[in-house]
Amino acid sequence: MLSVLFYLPDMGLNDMDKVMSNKWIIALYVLPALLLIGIFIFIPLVLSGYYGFMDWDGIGAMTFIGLENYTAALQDAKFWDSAWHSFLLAIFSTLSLLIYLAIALILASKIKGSDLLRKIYLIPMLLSSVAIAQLWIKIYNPTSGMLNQILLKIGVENPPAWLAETSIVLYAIFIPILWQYAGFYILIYYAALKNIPDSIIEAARIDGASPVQIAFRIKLPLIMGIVKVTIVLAVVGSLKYFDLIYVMTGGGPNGASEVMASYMYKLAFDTNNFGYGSAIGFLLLIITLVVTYIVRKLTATKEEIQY
Amino acid sequence: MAQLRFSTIAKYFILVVLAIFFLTPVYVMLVTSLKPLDEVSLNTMWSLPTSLDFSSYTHAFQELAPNFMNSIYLVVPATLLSAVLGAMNGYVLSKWRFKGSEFIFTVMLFGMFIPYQSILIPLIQFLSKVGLYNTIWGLIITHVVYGLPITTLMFRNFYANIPDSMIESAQIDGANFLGVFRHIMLPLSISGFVVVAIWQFTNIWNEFLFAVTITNSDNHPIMVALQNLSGSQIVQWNVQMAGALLAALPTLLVYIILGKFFVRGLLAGSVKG
Repeated sequence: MLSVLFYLPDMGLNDMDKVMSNKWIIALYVLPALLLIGIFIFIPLVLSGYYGFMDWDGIGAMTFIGLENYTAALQDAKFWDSAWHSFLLAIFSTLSLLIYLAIALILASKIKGSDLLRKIYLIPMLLSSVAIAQLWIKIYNPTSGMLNQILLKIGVENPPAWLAETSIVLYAIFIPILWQYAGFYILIYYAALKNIPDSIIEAARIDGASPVQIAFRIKLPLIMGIVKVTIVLAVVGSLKYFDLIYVMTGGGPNGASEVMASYMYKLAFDTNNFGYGSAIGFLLLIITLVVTYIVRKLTATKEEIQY
Repeated sequence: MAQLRFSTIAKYFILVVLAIFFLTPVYVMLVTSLKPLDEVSLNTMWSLPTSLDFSSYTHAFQELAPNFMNSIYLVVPATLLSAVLGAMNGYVLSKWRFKGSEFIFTVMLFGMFIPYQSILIPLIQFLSKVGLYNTIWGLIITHVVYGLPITTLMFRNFYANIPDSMIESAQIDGANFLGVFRHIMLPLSISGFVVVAIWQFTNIWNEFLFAVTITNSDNHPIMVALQNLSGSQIVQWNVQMAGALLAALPTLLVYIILGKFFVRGLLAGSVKG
């Protein structure tokens, strides 16, 4: 597969000329995208870092205050708490990939009804974050929500107020976040597993490999490339996660469920502290990029497995 | 043999428990939305409605209809534009690789990794300078640009699987850069377009952060309106749930109509890392 990616057509001299005369058209094709990306992604990124040096309420004039915002951010306990919460989410999301992988393995093992089950798992993906948040707020309702009703019925006394207790709230929000994305990862793994040619599995079976051996020795190594991509996706997605936190608790109570992205939002758009908000936003970027880089390095292998 | 059956039962047990975990909240959502106001209480949330009542849907529809249309005007052009631009990028970056094309590819993918909070303030500032703040077009452009990394990646991987020999033979027949794209790549990439379109449609339709920061009340897409609906104390739970389901209808329709192509497209290799 990879050989296709890196294969350049063996062209004769005439074809080469044709390509050269087409260079401008080729540039024309990527140019609009590059321009848009420059204007809407790279310039704002640089400006964000720059605004971090300013005292600014978003409306009035900016005052240059040097590194004040950045040094304040580095000493801001609330920011580091929110960063820790984001990291916890990244760890939970990455570990949950193991469960999704196991489920995909079961689903792909020629089981009856796998199509229907896969569709059921995908339902939360179709619901928006806002809808999911509202639904789970009701589920977690302390006095009469679905969850506590079940707990009371099976004899648990004084079930907690899930979204109001500082020691629980963060984990209570992790559940719907995982609920939202599980089907997507299961589908990706399922598709990757189904892409493995039957002949390989068949050959292993004839050689006497057990289903467990086939799963661990053959299937998993063959889809390792996809697994690595999903690890990066899960980590990046977690570090910049915002939606459910913002809608369900707004980072509360008392910052107990605050993550980096919701903290930045609060500073900029709720308290009009645009200079400090920009500095936090820029730190969020740096942290995300550094962690992504580390994760990519950690998961990189010298040779990709081909089939 | 007994052991084999046990493992099958165990497998189904796991899968079905998981399915219940996914379906139960949706069940509660659905029955609640169909109940009249006097039957809606958290204590009876499990029970089926005594009679079907669609009034919460009409109520929610009245509240959300203008924003629903905003979302339609947003999602259709944004999905199409990001798919077309992604296809062009993917074609060039997979089949017409030139010096520096790998670098350009990396630059394009970069947007996938950045938190939107890191660009939000300058982005809003820029949009208001060019008169696009609080407009649907401002949102469209933003979604097209931030969709580009993933659509480019998907199309590049998709096109990489199309054999070069097909392009070469088309070139021998006299097709140029554009001809190859129109007559070979586009017809072959229908399933690629479906995957990308479903992906973009779902993401843009459900997106919240850009929606709430780039537009104000009249131009709010449906998700912000849905959020505001729950924020007001007067609106009852059955109406909220009906609203949430109404808001999910377009993505549901897209999956019902195109879902089978989505999985087929994924199976055809567009998820290759």
